[in-house]
Amino acid sequence: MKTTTQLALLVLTAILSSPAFAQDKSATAAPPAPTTATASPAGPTVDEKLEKLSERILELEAQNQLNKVRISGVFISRYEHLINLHGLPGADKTREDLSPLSMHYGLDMAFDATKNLKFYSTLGMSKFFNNEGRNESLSAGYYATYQATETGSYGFSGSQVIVDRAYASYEFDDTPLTLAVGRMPTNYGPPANQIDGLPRQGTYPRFSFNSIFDGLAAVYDFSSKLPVDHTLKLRTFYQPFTNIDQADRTKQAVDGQQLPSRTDQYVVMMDYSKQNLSFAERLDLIVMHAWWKEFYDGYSGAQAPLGSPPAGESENGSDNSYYLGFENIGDVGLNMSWSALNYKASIIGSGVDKDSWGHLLNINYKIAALDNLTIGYEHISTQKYFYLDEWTRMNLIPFYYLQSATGNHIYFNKLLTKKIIGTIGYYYLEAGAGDIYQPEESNAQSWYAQIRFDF
Amino acid sequence: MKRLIYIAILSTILGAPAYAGKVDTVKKAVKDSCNKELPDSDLMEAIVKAYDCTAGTSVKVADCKISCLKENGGFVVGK
Repeated sequence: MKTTTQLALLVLTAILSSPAFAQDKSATAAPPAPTTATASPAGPTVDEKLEKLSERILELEAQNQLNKVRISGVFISRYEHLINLHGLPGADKTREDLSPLSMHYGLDMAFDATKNLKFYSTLGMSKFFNNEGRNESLSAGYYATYQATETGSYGFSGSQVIVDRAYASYEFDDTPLTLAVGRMPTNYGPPANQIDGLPRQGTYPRFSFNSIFDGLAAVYDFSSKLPVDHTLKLRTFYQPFTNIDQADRTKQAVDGQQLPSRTDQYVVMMDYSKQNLSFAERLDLIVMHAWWKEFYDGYSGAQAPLGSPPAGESENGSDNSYYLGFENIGDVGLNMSWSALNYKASIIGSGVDKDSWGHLLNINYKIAALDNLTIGYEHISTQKYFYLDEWTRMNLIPFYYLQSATGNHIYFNKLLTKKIIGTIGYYYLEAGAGDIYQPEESNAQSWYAQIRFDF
Repeated sequence: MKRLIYIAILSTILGAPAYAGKVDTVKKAVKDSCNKELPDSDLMEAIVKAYDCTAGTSVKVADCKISCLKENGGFVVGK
């Protein structure tokens, strides 16, 4: 005990005689006064020092408790060379040859308002080097209103900051329920993260949505009722789309007739995972169903004035999507996933019924012998009428969303040093003509090099 | 007598209602994952590794693999 006490005194003496304390002491400490403990004639007594130390520890704890903000972010710089031959079937093709450098920046801020209430946000920017003022929604007619909101900062429009994420989340104490409202993280879901060598980053699989949606979500976690290593979450998401006059908020939007100001879309998703399987470290099985009625597509050009035939069209439709993924198969760093999306829609008043499938296969293998270099491969296959909300992509090539398409993608990624990931890859895509929104066929290829900094 | 005073004061400090901090959390993670005590000499390095990482990954501290303790950041909605 004697040794321990002496050691404690030695440590305390060292701390209390540090410059910080000395400065603090000179500002606030009272003149020394004799106490029951042994006092130094020139300074505070030991118990005064201990009291001061207690205050300082309390100060640190209080500062820690009051620290409610967490900041992180990402910066990506990318080079891509795209060559795309496109044109109407049977006609001469136009050759596009682009090789821009681009960048993306995202600043994430999370606020722990209370133990249960959290607020998450991302401020983003993407641009091509030394290029400003682009607008990818210009040619989309009324659909531009959807496209712009779902694209967020990923439209490579320039250096202005756009809010990609802003939502509040409330987690209940007594029940495993989370409610959330706002602009949600509905992009960059699995397996897109694996191309960059990262763990899961988005709420929905990238082949369900890869766009930013606003809405209200409820997540119920059944995991506590399951055996260890199993998780099961039921996610519901309500996405109200708004049709409103673009210049006057007191007026409805018009396309031949007044459009309903709100079109509702609903999503139900089962999100199951299991860790520590006999043959793999993790399994993910995700099944999603989304549906909507009288959704105004509004795609083509200018809207018709009141009383004229509508220029755009409306649809009733649904999505069914599936994701099955295995990670670290055989404990050798092998990941595999299969994603599928079945889009069905009936165009109101036209008699056109759409029913299409798309499939995405992703395989990647982290090679320990090559300093954890990851080699990956993706294969995509889609049918006519295929539709994926794919608005937050980084690549130039339209790899993941064209109709009647078959494509392959090879990529390599590596953690170059802590927080820096390098990725290079090659895409090849052939797409036939689709419906009225994709009249051209195309043959495209691109290769890219990307470096990602997380901070 | 002096010794009793020191012990009394230290007990007051140490017995105050403290909040679970990173030290306790990292120690518990190592205990839960590897059933061993984290040596004090490894504590600082372990805290930095366990919190300065990518959420959703694993990190190795003191020869023990634990989950990254950095919070999710809200990219996946829900607990």
